[in-house]
Amino acid sequence: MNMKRITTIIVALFCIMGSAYSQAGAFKFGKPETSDVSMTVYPDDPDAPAVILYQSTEVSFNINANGSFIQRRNFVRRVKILKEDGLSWADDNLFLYNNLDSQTYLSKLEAYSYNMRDGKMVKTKMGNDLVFREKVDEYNTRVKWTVPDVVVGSVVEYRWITESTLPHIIQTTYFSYSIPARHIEAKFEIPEYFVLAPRTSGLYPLDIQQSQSIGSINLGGTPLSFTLHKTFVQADNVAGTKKEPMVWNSNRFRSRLDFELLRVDIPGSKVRMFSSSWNDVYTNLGASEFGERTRMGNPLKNECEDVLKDCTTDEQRIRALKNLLNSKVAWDGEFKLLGGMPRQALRDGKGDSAQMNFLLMSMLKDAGYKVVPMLLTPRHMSTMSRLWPTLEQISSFILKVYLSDDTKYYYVDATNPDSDLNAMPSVLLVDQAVEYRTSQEPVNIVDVCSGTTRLNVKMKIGGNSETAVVEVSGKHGKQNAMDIAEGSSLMPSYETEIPEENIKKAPGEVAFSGVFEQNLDSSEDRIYVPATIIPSPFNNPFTAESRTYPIQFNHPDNYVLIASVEIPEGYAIEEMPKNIRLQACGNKLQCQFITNRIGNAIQISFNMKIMESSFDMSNYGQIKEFFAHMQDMFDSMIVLKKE
Amino acid sequence: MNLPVKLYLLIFLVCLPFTGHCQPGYNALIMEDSTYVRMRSTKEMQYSVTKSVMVMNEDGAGIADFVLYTDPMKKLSRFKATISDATGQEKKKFGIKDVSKTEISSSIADDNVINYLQFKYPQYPYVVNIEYQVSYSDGYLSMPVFYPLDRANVLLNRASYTIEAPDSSAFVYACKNCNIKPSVTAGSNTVRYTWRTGTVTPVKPEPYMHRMEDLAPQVWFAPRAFKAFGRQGDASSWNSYALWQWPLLKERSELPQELRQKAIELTSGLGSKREKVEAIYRWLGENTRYVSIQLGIGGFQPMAPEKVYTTRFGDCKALSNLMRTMLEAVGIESNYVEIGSGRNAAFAGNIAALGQTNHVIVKVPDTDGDIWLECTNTSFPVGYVHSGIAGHNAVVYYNDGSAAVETLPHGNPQANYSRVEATVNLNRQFEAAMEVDETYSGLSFESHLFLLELSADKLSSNLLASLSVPMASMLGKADFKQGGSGEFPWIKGSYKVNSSKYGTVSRTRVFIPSLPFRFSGMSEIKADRVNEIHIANSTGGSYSIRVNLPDNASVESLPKEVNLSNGLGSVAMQSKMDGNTIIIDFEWQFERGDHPSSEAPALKELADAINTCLKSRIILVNRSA
Repeated sequence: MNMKRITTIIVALFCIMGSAYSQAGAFKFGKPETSDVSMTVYPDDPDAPAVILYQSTEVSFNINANGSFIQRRNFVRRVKILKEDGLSWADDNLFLYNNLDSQTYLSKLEAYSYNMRDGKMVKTKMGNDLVFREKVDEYNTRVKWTVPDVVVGSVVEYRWITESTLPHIIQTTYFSYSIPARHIEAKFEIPEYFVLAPRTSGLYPLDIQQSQSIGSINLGGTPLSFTLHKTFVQADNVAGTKKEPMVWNSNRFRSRLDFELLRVDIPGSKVRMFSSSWNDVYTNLGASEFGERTRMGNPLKNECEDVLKDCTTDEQRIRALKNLLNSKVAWDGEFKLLGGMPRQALRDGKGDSAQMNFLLMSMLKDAGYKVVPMLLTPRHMSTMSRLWPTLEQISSFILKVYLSDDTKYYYVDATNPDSDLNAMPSVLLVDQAVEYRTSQEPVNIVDVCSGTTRLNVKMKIGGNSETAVVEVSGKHGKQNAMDIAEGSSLMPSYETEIPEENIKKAPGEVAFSGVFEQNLDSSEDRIYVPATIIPSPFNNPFTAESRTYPIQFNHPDNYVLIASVEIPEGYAIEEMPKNIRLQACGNKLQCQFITNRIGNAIQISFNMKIMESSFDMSNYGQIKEFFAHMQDMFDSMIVLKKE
Repeated sequence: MNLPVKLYLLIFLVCLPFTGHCQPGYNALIMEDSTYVRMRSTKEMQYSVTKSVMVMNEDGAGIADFVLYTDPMKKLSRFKATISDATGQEKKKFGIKDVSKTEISSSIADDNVINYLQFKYPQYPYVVNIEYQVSYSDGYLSMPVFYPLDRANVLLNRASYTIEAPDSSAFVYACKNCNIKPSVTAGSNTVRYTWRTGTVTPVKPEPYMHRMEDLAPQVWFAPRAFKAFGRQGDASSWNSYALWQWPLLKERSELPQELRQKAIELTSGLGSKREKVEAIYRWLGENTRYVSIQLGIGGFQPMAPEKVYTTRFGDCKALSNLMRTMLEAVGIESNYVEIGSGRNAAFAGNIAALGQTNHVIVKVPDTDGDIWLECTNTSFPVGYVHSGIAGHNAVVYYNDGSAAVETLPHGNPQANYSRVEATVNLNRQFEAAMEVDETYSGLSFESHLFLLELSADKLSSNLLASLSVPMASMLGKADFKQGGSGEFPWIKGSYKVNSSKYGTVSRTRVFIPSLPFRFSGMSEIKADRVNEIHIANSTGGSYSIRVNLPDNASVESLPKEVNLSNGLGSVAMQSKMDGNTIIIDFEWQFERGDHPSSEAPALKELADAINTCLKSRIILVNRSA
């Protein structure tokens, strides 16, 4: 690269930074625009209950009295309240984390409200009596505040500064919220000693602008100069987040900026390296108690031998060991990566996910299986990034159990007694997990955990032609059985519920049967029978014109219905539904519906397959059409007419 | 393990082979629940609780969990617990250090600390034994209630509650849903009263039944003399308690001059008391918001009106007190009223057992009928008594410093209705253009109030979701507004919807809903019912649908006529043709009241008939298909 080009880039960079900061420069805390205070509707989103007019985050570093680096986070937000719904934006809170090794302090908090009254702007300051602290747990304190004199129409403004003795951990900065935002910016000035790589994620791309300058500090009377790495990100006119069906966790689509910690290299201190590849993550984990626990011995050796005695297949053996553990330890509801001591869970009769999975791992390994933790973050918590391997984004794990020939494997989670091989609590069905010490790329777990449902239905129409007797039997298998254990209602919805004694539940399978009376539409000379006899178990969620987020089914699924209707004496078929065969998204969604008359009965066969759980928004049109056609099929009728 | 636990487990295990399943018909068995209260002085009290719970299944697991709210006056001073398996073997012991604490709260600030410990064991049944002690050393206003069975599907074996007091005049008590007589033992310096229950069978939850609080035996207590926040009081009656509470209100009755002037301005030129009340009430709603701060005596004493005025917020006490003082400024007498919102409709006697109230409203005495004001939610019009408080007992503080229990009126049964009118124009492709007018009054008004707070987008989505018409889209903006007054508030709305698929098209036939709205329908009613039938409110409604058919449509079938009326309510549905228009009229009515369980068949008949109407369909033939 020649000098001329370098000069051009530097000039361009300064121009970019200049324009980026110019908007920040226009903002003056304590001086809102009269037009904003008078605003009644936000033109970009007339329905918005409130709008973030301005928000900025500035992170910088100082040296404290002990000569240690501290991180300073300076946050400013100005919000316009437009509707009653938006009044809650007058209240806010922040968490302060403190333990023996590190402290986070709130060094400044001030807030104001602004109202136009009699043509004049009235400014009201929040007093200290409206700031409250609550101890959430041993380490976390929440500071809450409520800004006074806020009504619909007010502008609320506050700023706070926190200082943390954990300088190398930079909290996530969000650029989208439930309400729209006019301008959000964030500025970070990080000394070269903290090697932190900025990463953006979310649905709307953020542009990172980076530059460098020289910084200096006074370290014990000695001036120290260093390179200051500057990062600036801004977002303008950001729409509020949406609620859409079939999304696991819409929070993961919010635009955000994180810093991945690579290295801490402070002069005079030992260099500390952090993860930059999955191998680094594995090395760090392996050197921790996590590594030790993956090597722990089986504390239930004798009992394991007992339960394995009568097992002949790998599947039986894995289930038997899991059942043994579930009979000894109940899950306490916590997902953990390390958790408490595994053996303590045996003594307590309860444990977290890590304790339980470490125990199961030791039992399975002792039984001769190769078992590897699959590191992940449950759906409801966050998501793992494919691009930046860090330990911080892992909060739990399940097990991958290889069978004897090392090519076939099952995913197993120990926490829920109702879970099975490749069937587990839905929050663990993630599309990104890494195999400890093995994978260099996140892998998809959810698409391995398919659900199956098979229903057999027979209908016999009564003499009055208004009711029919319907016999139903069926099985929900694999992940669908797990979903039922978690409370999902996959059972056909009948007016009378299936009696409890007719439902047989076991891990990986729910079998049921029942006989019901079903009302039918009828007229003087006709009987109308729904195409699939029993009501559709699918409500079409794809009715919106457009889609913002990807479409995420809970998991792949295979639904099969075989039904027959006995044609009552004196009736003939007047109309049959159309047979259909649908496919979409590269054959990953399939549906087939076929009716046939065989003797005095109508045979119905319906099959729907969802082969993958997640689809990009670009597939929405196809998915919408697929489900609309399928809905039409469910809505269609067999018409029987009196002869 | 103590003997009773072993005995229960033995009985349970012996019974297992005969029952076949571990399904005893209840989720948990409270083997023992005993509370021992020591009243040491007007400032000091301790109580100890010993509880043994056998958890039978997953649904019963939460019943054994320990949850205790404490505050600066109330400390958890001792705690121990054990968990035992089905064989009676003790598996783990817990001490006070195992109890987690958090101050986390949904309000902006309060004094509460939640102490909690969740018990889990991998196999059912298991037994949890808990013993703990709570101490008050700097005053107390209330005493623990004897309410050993507060949820359904739980069997109570026995429970007791003992008070050890310096003398029999130290406290008062009142029974609710029971008439348990205490046994009394006199000691040298103390007297002991003990209340006991025997076995209480599990309450089976069913639709249309009384709430647990109206069924389960309870004994409430209050200290005759207490000292809290440095002030002496007497909770033996609400009137005596008012001597403690009223000064707290009196200290917060000063209205700043600016606000006094505002009250006068708002009401100047208005003639009637009601108009003046409405003007101030409206101002209150437009200029304040609800924020809950309950610290120290702030849990009992409202924020000063001046503070509410400057901050523009307050909790129910503060907003009600501001209303009261502003009314006073314009010469209108009103009363500060404590009430149980959403619970404790009926007080236990007349004792000032404070746990029964959780909310404050305002009463304006009036010769034309008292006016009740819900200052926390001014969407309720002046005088409207909402369902959370209708028919509830309330403590009314009079301006002479006295207090008495009054009962709020029930809502006017005539007011509770929904009325929906819809015209549907179908074209030759069976696409629909719908025009809908909706009116909701009384209870329906309450349940539809949220519509007014929705943005246009959300309102539109909400209304479309309420239609049983697929592929519908809103034409223009829906227009909803509220009106009415007093007992008859209403919300009226109208909107237009287009649908490219009004019904279910099946080759030559089109199946269209008789009532194109999504109904959850009535819960399934079983004829072999256990509980008394309790219909809490009279409610009714009507749907009137007109469907204009295209010339290529003919009617193959209309819904059958329904006409049913019994002592619990009525339902009627008629359908007919008028030229090329289908006319569907559907009405229902429920009457408030209690009925013996033997009337379950009548309730079932009514529910089934309503559900049949809601699901009924019109069958059309597409002659051009």
